[in-house]
Amino acid sequence: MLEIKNLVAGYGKVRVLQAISISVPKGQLVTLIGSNGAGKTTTLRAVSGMIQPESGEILLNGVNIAGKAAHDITRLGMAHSPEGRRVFGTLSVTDNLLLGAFPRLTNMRPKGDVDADMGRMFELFPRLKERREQLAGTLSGGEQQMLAMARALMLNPEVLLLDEPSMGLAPKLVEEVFATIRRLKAQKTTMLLVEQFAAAALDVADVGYVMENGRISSSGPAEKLKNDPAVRAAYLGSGS
Amino acid sequence: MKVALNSLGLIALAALPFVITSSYYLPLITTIIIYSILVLGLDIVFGYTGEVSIGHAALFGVGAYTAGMMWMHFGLGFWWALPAAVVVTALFGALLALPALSVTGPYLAMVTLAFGTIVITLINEMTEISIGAWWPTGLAVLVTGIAAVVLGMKTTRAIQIAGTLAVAVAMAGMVWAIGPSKPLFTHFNLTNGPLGIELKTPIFIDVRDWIDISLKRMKEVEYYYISAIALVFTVMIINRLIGSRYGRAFEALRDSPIASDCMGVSVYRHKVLAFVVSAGFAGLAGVLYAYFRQYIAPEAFGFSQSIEFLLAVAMGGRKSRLGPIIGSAIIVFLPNVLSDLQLFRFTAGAIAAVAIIAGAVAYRRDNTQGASILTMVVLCVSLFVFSLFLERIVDWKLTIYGLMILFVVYYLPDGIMGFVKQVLSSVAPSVVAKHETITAEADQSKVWGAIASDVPIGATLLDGRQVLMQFGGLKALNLVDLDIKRGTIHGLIGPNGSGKSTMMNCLTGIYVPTAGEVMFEGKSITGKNSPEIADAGIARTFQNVQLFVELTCIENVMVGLHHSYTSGFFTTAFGLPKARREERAARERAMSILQFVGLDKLANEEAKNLPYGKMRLLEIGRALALDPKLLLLDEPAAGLTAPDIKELIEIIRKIKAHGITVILIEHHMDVVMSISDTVTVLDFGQKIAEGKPAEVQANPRVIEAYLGGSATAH
Repeated sequence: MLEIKNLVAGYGKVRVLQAISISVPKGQLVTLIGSNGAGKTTTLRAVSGMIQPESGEILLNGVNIAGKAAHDITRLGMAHSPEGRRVFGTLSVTDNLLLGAFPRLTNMRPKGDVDADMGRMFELFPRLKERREQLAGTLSGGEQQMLAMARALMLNPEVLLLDEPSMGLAPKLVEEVFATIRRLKAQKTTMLLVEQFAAAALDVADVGYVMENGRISSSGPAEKLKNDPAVRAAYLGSGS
Repeated sequence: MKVALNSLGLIALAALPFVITSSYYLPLITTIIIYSILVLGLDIVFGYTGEVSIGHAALFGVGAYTAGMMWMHFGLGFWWALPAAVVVTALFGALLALPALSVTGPYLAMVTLAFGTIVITLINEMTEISIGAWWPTGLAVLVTGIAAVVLGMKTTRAIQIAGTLAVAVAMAGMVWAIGPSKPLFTHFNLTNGPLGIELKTPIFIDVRDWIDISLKRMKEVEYYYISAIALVFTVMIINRLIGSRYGRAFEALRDSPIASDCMGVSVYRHKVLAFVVSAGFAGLAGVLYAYFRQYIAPEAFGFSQSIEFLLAVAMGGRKSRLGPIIGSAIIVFLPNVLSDLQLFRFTAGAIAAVAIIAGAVAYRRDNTQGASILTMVVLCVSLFVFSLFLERIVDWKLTIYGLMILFVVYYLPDGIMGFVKQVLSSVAPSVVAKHETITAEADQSKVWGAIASDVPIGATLLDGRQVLMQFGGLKALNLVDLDIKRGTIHGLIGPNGSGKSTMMNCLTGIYVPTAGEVMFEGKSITGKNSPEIADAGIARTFQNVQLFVELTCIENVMVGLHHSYTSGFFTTAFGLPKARREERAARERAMSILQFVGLDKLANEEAKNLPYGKMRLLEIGRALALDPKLLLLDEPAAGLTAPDIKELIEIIRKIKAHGITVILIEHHMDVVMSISDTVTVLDFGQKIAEGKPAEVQANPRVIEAYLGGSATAH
């Protein structure tokens, strides 16, 4: 589904990603873990076209999307739920969701039943249904996170990129977010997940990649990584 | 390298009159120099504080008219006008900045536009003032002066002194107006209106006795030198200011006004200061212009002139010294180029050649941008081709002018200097570095400042009493009591939206509580503004990181150290030893603090290039620079991985060990529970539990509302 091959990208002259390769098979949940500044967020930003890669290939269903503009990549079915949520604060929850479906509403993507999908989102995130008419900026952090995920899902994406969905959330909400991710996985949504709670991420994922200084240092089935002593020591820490 | 380039510039400036003997070009260059002084000043406001001023031509006019009116009414010449114009214009700058308290961005730009219009209208109309009318005029000056004195108390002494002078002038004017020798109602021509005022270029040293030179040529050369000296002086002062705490404050308030206020760097005060300094240079340029042109009239200082000055900054390049000078050269030369066909062809040819070379270089560096580079080159070349077919340039003048501006703004968003720096950065990075590379020895003994508090360890440091914060019908904080003991780490937890960050904002003056009171060290801080509270010793970090993104890490920390300087504005502007000593000490301290939070290796990296987790550490460092008694940490562990969190816990423990009290908002329970002495739990704006970490963790209400089933998992 999504194939990243020897991707090199960065900001200006600073090269963050040094030729990384990641493969996200259809219907699977792949997680990317690693320390701060390893390049996890940069990877997602390069994949969704928010930064231009220097070299390498990003294949979405066999089509190379590397270097395309972000809005063109979205039309091909890549949805990005960004770090720090980035909801449209002065618009209502419903409008935020509709904007997520914008390429469908403008027939850039197969339209399907937008209303039904909206209903599905409210089923998945009942809190959003209660707050449907509220301005997104007035939602609590947890609700904004749910909105960001729901907005991305409204694209009916081929691949969903999730950047730090648990950041800044209360423990109870972190559980809810992970429960939602499990449910999406059960519905066979293809996902690439970046998460600081490495242990929890490896729990839900099928495959894991560990990033270090812009390179993939190890990868494999999530179960195996979780029991790898080196990974445990470096990323799973004591408290988790 | 930099020193060599500077000396080269100085030599070129000194040698120019010997090279250019044309009595057409030398005055043109003098005009560029005069404009440069103004545009450099404008860059302080536009480039550094990020505000757009469309009133700078009016300030230029105020300077020129101060000189003109002093000559017309009192016969006071150049040397009298020079300081007077700077002071008067600076005062007008303060007046212009007063609305900055409540408006910013495009609205402030509109205020400056209105200001410009009013000034020009007044100059046009103030020709028939009866002596009786001196009263309202004098009164206006008096009130302005008093306002400036009051403002000066809140801002800086420079404004205060200027205000005092204005009061004195107004008083003297009124006494003179009612003096017994004067008839009461005569008509008085203050500005000579649209007819303008004539002046005479002064002779500074008469060298005709020694050198065979015509009077005209001598005046031109002398005036060129006077202007050049003023330019060098301007560049020196601005360089010093920008490299000092004031320059950092200007950029800080642009990048994050909230964080500046919370670092004790008052946004309002420094914005006014930026306008005043900027206006001072406009006044200097105005007086030079008046004596250079020997004739001033109001239409030279109108709206379109203001726009040209702004364009000069934008085209030349913001935030540099050379940029405004290049920009000024363009706005002076362009009309000349566009009135001479041969010259226009030559210039277009040069531009096309430069574009081809630059395009080739750019393509070799980054071949993904091929299409846009090609467009640029084709446009430049076609301009040249177009110029060859042109017969009468006058018909096309305005169109070409507009197209060139469009082109520069579109293709060179950082101006010509920005482009040059980009091209040069691979060849000679040290010359074009965006920031001065600051090196200093880190010394762990210098991390901690003196924290003296009358409150003994274990006694109440901060006491929130029945704090109520209401937004419309929503009670974000509903009568919350908060008792923080000195020397402890006080955890504050609760679901998202329970009021934790609202509490932080109430404690730091961002919100004023609807009801209730906050006492700090026994004194009420309710209703005080953020800078005052920061000065009282409360520092904070922000949940949604609020760094000064265009400053480097060490500069961010140095903004936090703003309070530690005692050298004032003039000491800094003239680079006196005391200011230099303090700057050096601040650098060492900042580097030590960076080392403490583990960022010393990234000291000269721009804050916006840091990964998220490191940004949070930098915020802690910046807050520590304030030497706080109380430190509020808003979700410091968000976005950190497990090993980073261990380091963070160590850092917070050390902060506590140095006697700094900490309030910690955090969702990572392993952090909160392992280091807090007391934990308070909020839910829906109310306190639902408080006590030792273990008690709180076992509290069924807390588990229900916040922790959820697997409370121990994280």
